Formats: sequence, structure tokens, C-alpha cells
Amino acid sequence: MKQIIVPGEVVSQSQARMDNAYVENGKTYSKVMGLYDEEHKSVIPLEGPWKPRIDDAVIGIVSEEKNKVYEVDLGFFGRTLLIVGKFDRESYKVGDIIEATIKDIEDRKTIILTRARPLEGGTVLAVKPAKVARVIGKANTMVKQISEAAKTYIIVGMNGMIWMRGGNIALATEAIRKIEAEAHISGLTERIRLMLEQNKGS
Amino acid sequence: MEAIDVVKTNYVKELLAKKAREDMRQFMDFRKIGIVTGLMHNAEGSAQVDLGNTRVLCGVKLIVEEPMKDTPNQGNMMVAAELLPLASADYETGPPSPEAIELARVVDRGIRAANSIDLKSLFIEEGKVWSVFIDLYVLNYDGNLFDACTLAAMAALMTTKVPKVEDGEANREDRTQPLKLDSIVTSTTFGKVGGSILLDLDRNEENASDGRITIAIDDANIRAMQKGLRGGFTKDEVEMLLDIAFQKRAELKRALDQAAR
Repeated sequence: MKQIIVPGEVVSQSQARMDNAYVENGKTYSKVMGLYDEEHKSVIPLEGPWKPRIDDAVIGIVSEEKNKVYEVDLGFFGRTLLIVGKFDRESYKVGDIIEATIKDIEDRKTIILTRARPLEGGTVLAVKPAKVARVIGKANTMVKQISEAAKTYIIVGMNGMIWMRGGNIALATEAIRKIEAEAHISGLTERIRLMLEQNKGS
Repeated sequence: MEAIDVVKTNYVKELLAKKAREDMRQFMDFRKIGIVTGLMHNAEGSAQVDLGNTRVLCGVKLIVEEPMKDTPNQGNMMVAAELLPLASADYETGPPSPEAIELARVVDRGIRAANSIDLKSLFIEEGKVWSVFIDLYVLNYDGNLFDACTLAAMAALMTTKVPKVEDGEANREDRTQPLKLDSIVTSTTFGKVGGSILLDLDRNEENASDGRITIAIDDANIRAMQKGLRGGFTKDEVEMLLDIAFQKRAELKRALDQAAR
């Protein structure tokens, strides 16, 4: 059972360490507007910026090139650098889509990427970073479901960029937008399944 | 152009090579048209048009003014368009950009060339006429502002009520008489991406396009045309597009008539 909480609302009568919450006078309060999951004891924000973590897989677009150091647009404010190592493809050009892993976060504005690989063709779609977990679903179920119905190859980056190629991209886009808008209402998987089945024929 | 636009442009071209569009439309299809009228009480006429994700708000204001010196027995008409910063990351505040000026002038020319507003009916008395101010505000940009703005301006004009004049001054409490319109103008904008010609381009397609042509028509006549960007259209292509413009008019007119009812 998930319940909606607002900032400053008590989520636990005892001290508990969880993301998006703070402890005061022996009680735990929410920092954000979102949902409280009692089962897993976690606060899930409805909106919010992406908090990069080391080893996150992200999708970005090369936006600048300087001496084999590439600046990558991850769809959020900040600077992301890709330094080509010996295992990477030699060169990229502006507009190339890449999938990469976060190697290091230097300060709040600069991220260093590594293990980049190019994604050929296709298009990208940006969703709110807070909804990425919903788009992926439990053990990839949601993204698999969309992928199978639309026959589209989909890769989801933790930064909210989604890369798609082939098949019915319009249907996949519609499904992802629906998830983004209705992620907080229960029975989401079922509704998406129905929507995909209805549109399969068209 | 941002890096993401490069990706979207490549994707649009990749799809067009397979004769498809991003939202599975046919090449000569409009997106969903939604028109709402009578949103603003203070304006004499108003309309909001949604063309896919493009959203434009239009207000018509009538003000008693002196006539122009060369047309002493006619009212005046002015169109202004503003690209609000909230519509797109590319738009900024400040003096109107060349795009905003072009937008306003294309809409203005369509309506003016078709003699759509009966300007003679706006004469009040010696030295006093109505001035019609058509103000367009782009609230969200997703391509094809020309058609959206022309639709918004026409829908607002169709619902405009002229205030009563008492002792040479406008009584805005008493607004019953509709503005006299002689014809309904619609515009259709085509764009050329690679070798294919599309109708109603969205934002990504506009970024990828290298030619644009806007055709303003009324029931029987071609009233105005505007070509933009670098690419060209051949004579045969223009003739084909004129035919399509007249075919597509029914759809636009139906949306306008429904909204103005």
C-alpha cells in the first residue's frame, strides 16, 4: 500500500535512514512530495532531478568534440565528459548517440563517462528522471512488454534518455508517455498492457 | 541547434526514406485540430488553437481611432505575433525576432489580401473608425505556427463582437453586433524534407526541412503565398500543392465553423 505524502509529513515514528527523508527529534519526515512505500520503507519522489551515481548506465548525445575529449548531452543541466580510453571506439562526431557508464562524479556539475558504445540510428526520447524506474518496471517487465508489443528495440538510460529503434516507435512513445503521466496510480502495468493490445492492430 | 536536434533530424530523414512520419501520419495529413473560442472577456474576440502540441492564443481588440490618411472611410487592421519564451527554449524576450515578424506578416497578408474583414463597415463617423488589433501569442511550439496562427486569428475574428458606439465612444458593456466578414481564410503550409513534401510539419520535421511554402486561400481564390528557407519548389510541385490546399480547406473550415458556432 502506497500513500501520498507531502514535505514535512511524518513517515516513520522511529529514526529510519532512507532517501529523500530527514530525521528530527527521533522521527522521520519526508523531504519531498511523493509516495511512501510501507513494504519497502522508502520514499519515492513524484518529481525531481536526476542524482547521478557511479556505475549508472546512461544514454547521451555527443554535443562537442575537443582533442578526443567529448562533451555529452545527458538531457540535464551540467557538463559530462567522455574521455576515450583504449577499449573505446576511436572517434565520435556531434550528434552521435552513445550509451556509457559513469566512471566518476568530479563535482556537482561534471561527470566523467567511460565504456562508451555508439547506438546506430534510431531516436531518443527524454522522460522525467524520477519516472525512469517506472518505465523499466520490476525486473524489466514494463520495458520488455512495450518492446514486444511495438517490436521496437529499447534501451533506457538512468538519466531519463530512452533510445529506440525499429518497429512501431510511435506506439512505444505513446506508452512511455502514458507511464510518465500515470506512474503514481496503481494498476499501471495492467493499463499499459490493455493500451498496447488495443493499438497493436492499428 | 542542440545536439538532440541533430539526432531527431537524422531520425526524421531516416523515417522519410521509408515513407513514414514520426506520428504515423500520411504525408498530407494535419495533426489533430482543436479550437476553443471566447476565452477572454476583455477582448472582443478570442480563440485558442491546438495543432498537435502547438498551441496559439489569439485576442482581437477593437479600438476607436483616426483612419489612415489614404483610406479616410475605412477601418484599420493590425496583426502582431509574439513568440513567448515559455513556448520553446529557443525563444527569448525582447524586441520581436525576424521569425515573429514574418509570422505576423504572413497571417496579416492572408487576411488582408482576401479582404476578409469588411473594413468599410468599420467606419463610424468623420475622423473615427474601428481599428482591429489581432494579437497572437505562441504558447507552445511544435512546428507549423503559420497555419495555427491563421486558424486562431480567423476563429477569433469569427466570434468578434463590435461594441456599440455612444457619443463617439465605445460602450464595451453592449457587444452584440458580430464583425462583418466577407470570406474565411485558411492557410496550408508545406515543407520539403529531403525530396519529399509534407503538410503540417512538426518541430523535428521543421528542423530537418529545407524549403517551406504557405498558401492562403478562401473559397475559390488563391489569396497569398509565402516561401521560406533555402530550398525551392518546381512549378509542377506548386500546382500540385495548390490543389491539395483546396482539398484540405474543408477540414480546416469545418473546425472553424464548429468552434465559432
